Amino acid sequence: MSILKTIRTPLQNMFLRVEKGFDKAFGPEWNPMRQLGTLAFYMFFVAAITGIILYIFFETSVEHAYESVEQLTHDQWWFGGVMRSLHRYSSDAMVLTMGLHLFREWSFDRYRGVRWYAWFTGVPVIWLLYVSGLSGYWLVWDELAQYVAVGSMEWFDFLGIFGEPIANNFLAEGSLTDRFFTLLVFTHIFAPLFLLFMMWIHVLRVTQAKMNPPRGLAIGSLIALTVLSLVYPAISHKEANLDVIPTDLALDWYYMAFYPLYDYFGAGAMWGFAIGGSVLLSILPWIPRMKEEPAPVVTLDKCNGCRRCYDDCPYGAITMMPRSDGAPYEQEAVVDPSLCTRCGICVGSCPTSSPFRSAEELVTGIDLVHISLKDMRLQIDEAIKTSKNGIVLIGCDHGQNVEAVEESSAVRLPCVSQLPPSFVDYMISNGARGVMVAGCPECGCRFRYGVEWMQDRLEGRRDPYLRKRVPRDRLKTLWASPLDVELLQETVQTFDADLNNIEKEDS
Amino acid sequence: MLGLVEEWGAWFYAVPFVIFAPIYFSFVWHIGVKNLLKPDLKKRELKRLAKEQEERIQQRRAEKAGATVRVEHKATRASWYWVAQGAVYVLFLVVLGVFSASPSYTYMGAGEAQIKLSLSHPGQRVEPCTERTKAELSKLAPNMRSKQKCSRERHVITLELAMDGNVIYAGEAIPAGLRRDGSSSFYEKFFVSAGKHTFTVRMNDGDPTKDYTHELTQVVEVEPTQNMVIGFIENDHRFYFR
Amino acid sequence: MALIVWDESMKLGVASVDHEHEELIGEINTLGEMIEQGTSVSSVQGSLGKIHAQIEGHFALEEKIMRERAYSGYYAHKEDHEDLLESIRDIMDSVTEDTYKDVSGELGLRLRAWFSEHFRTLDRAFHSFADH
Repeated sequence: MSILKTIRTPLQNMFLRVEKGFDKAFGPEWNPMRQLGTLAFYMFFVAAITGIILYIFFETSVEHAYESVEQLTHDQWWFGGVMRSLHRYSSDAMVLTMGLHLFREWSFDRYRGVRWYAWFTGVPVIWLLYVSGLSGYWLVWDELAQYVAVGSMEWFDFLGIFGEPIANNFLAEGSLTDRFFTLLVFTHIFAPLFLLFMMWIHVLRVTQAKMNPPRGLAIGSLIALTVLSLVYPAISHKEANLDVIPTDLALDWYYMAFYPLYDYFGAGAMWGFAIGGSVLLSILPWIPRMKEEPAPVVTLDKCNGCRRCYDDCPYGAITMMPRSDGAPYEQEAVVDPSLCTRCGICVGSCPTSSPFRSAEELVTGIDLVHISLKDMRLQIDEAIKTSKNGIVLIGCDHGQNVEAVEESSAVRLPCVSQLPPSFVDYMISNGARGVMVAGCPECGCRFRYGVEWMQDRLEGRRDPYLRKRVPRDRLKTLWASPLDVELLQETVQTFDADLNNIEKEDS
Repeated sequence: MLGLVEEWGAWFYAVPFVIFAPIYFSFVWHIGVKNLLKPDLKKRELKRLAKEQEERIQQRRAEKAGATVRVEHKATRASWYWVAQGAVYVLFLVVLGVFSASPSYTYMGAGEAQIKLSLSHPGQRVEPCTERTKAELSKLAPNMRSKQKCSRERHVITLELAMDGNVIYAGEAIPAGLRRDGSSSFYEKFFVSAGKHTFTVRMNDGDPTKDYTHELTQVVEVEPTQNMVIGFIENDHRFYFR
Repeated sequence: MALIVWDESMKLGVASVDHEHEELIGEINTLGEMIEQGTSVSSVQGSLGKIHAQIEGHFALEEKIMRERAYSGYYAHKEDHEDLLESIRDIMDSVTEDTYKDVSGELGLRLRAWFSEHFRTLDRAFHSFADH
C-alpha cells in the first residue's frame, strides 16, 4: 500500500541515519538502535532487582508506607535512595526503549506477514508494563500516588462491574484501609511477573531470540542510570491526605501522560481510546495484509537431508523430518511457511545450488519461487554482459542502492546471502572482472544473519565454503548503510583501480 | 540475661557469631562444599581449552581457504567514539530525567476545592413486602421459611445537588446487579471556588408520592484544596457533609 | 566400457552414502560413454556440472553424518573433500570449446582417479569407524 510506504520511507531513513551515526560511536555490536528490545528486557531486570531490594525496606501499611520511602530516600540516600532512583529511571527507560522499539519495527515493516505474532503479543506487554509502573507509584502514597490512584479507581469504576465504586476506598482520610493498600502492593508484585511472562511469550516464536544486550551497553546504561540517580534522585511529593486535593504535580510523563487526558476527556472517552487503541494496534498486521511471496520449495530428489539449510535459517522455519519419498536418506527438509520470511538464505546454503549445469538441470534442493536459481543465473549472466567496468554488484532488497553505480551492473536478491558461493566462482570464471557483495551493515542484516553467514562462507568458516581457487583479489564485500551511496561509489572505483593493477601485473 | 544485653548491646549478638561462624563454615566446607566448587573450576578450564582449540582449528581452516576476503569499511568506531557514546548517554539521561518529573501539571488551582458526592444506597423495593401465610410457609423447605416475602427489584434513585441555589448535579442511578437488586451508587466530583457556600442535597429512593425522601441543606466554609465529601449514612438515614 | 565398476564391496554400510556413491559412479560412467561417443562440449560441460552439484550434496551429507557420529578423522576428511572440490572445478574449467579436443582423451581417466583415491582411503577409514 503506497500510502503506508510513503510514511514509512522517511521514518526508515531517519532510523538509518541515526544507526549510521551510532555505528560510528558504539560500533556495530553495541549499536543501541538495534538493541532496543534487549535493552527493554535489561531495564526490566534492573527494575526487578532494585524493586526486590526496595521491598526489604518498604513498610506495607498505609500509615508507614510514605515514611519508609522517605527514610530510604533521605537517610539512606547512598544506597536505598540510589536503588529507588534506579528503580524509577529503569522503569521509565523501559517505556522509552519499548516505545522506540515498536516504532522502529513498525517503520521497517517488521510486523506483518509471518511476523504478526511478535507484534500481536506486544500489545499485552504494553498494558502490563503500564499496570506495573503505575501500581508502583501508588505504593509511595504521596500526593502523586493519591492523584494516580484515585484517577485509576475512578476510571475502573466507569465499567460498572463493581457493586460499589472502588474509588470509595479513597473517599476521605481514613477510607483507605491496610487491606486495600495490600491489594495495591500485591498488584505491583504480580503485574511485573505477568509482564515477564508476556515478554517471554512475545519472543517465543523467534529462534535464538536475543534477550540480553551486549555487555558494553549493559554496563554503560547501568552506569549512566546510576549517575542520573545520584545527580537527580527520585523524591516523593508531600504525604498523601485524602482530605486535601493536590494542586501541582510533577508527573512522570512516561507512565502518567494519560491522566491529564482523563481529567479533560473523562473516563468513557479514555476507555474508548484504550480499547479502541489496543484493538487497532493488535490488528495492524492485517491492515493491510502483507503480500507474501510463495514459500520456498524443497525438491526431494535433490535433497539428501544434509541439514545445511536447517542450520542456516534465521527463523527456524526449516525442520528436518523423516524421509517421505522412500529414498534411502534419513531426513528431508520441510519448510514451515508460517515462519518463513522468504529471505533465501537457505538457497545460499544448499550444496546443490551450483550454477554449472544446463538450464533444465538447474534445480536445487531448496529454492525460492519468485527468484529461483534459474532466475538468479539469468540475471547474473545478463549483469556480466552489461557491466561497463566488468564489476557485478550483488545487493539486497533492504540494503545498499547497488543500481546507483553506473559503470557496474547489479543483481538484487531478498538477502545477499541467497547467493551461493559457487555463483561467485561461476561469475569470475565466466567473464566478470570483479564481484562485489554489497549488503546491509554489520549486525544490521534485515534478516538477522545474512551478513554474518555470507562473510563466513566467503572466508571458509561456514559451509558451503568459497573455493580456494577463486582469486580473492577479484572479490570484495561491503557492509554499509543504504544511505552511504558515496561510500559505495568510492569502493567500486578503488576496486576498479585495484583490478587494473592486477591485470597489468598479469600481462 | 537481659542485663547483659543492655550492657553489651549489639555485641551480645555479634561476639558468638564471630566466634562460631568460622567453625561452622569450615565444617560445612569440608563436608562437601569444596567438592561442589572444585569440579566447576575444572569444567571451566576444560571449556576454555576446548574453545581455544576450536579457535585454532578455525584459524587454520580460514588460512587454508586463502587470503581473507577484504571487508571494506568494517564499521570501525571513530577515534572520538568515547565522546560520542558519552554524548548519547547524556542525551538518554536528559530525556529520562526531564520527563520523569516535569513539566508539572496543575490538577486544581490553589484557590479551588473539590466536592465529592459519593453515596451507595439501596432503593426501596418496587413491590412492597408481604407476609407469608402459614400454608405458604409449610410448603417451603424448613431453611427457607422467612416471614416476609419481598420482590428483588429495587427502585431507581434520583439525586440532586445544588450549590448557592444553582443545581450542579441532577441524576439517577439504577440498582447494581443483573436483577437490579443491589445498591444504587453515585460518585461525582466538582471543582468549586473556596469560601462559604450553601449546599442542598436531595434524594428520592423510590417513593412516587413524594418529591424527595431525604434532604439536607447546610452552609459550609470550604477551605482551599479541601476535599469535601457529601455522603449518606445508612444507619441514620441521613446525609452528611464532611 | 565403464570408467568405474560398482560392486558390493564398495558398500560402507551407511545406506544414504552408499546410494549416492552408486549414483555418482553411474554419472561418471555415463559421462565416460559420452566422451567416447564424441558428444558436444556443452553436453560434457553440462554433465560435469551435474556431477559437481551431486558431489557437493554428497560431501555435505557425509560431513553431517561424520559430525553426528563424532568421527575423530572428520577434519582431515573434510579437508580432502575441499581439495576434491577444487580439483573437480579445475577439471570443469579445463573443458572449453577450444581445449576440449586436447583434454577429452585424458578426461575420463582424470575423473576416475579423482573419485577412486579418496574413496579407497578416507571413505574406507570412515567405514571401519562406522562399523564399531
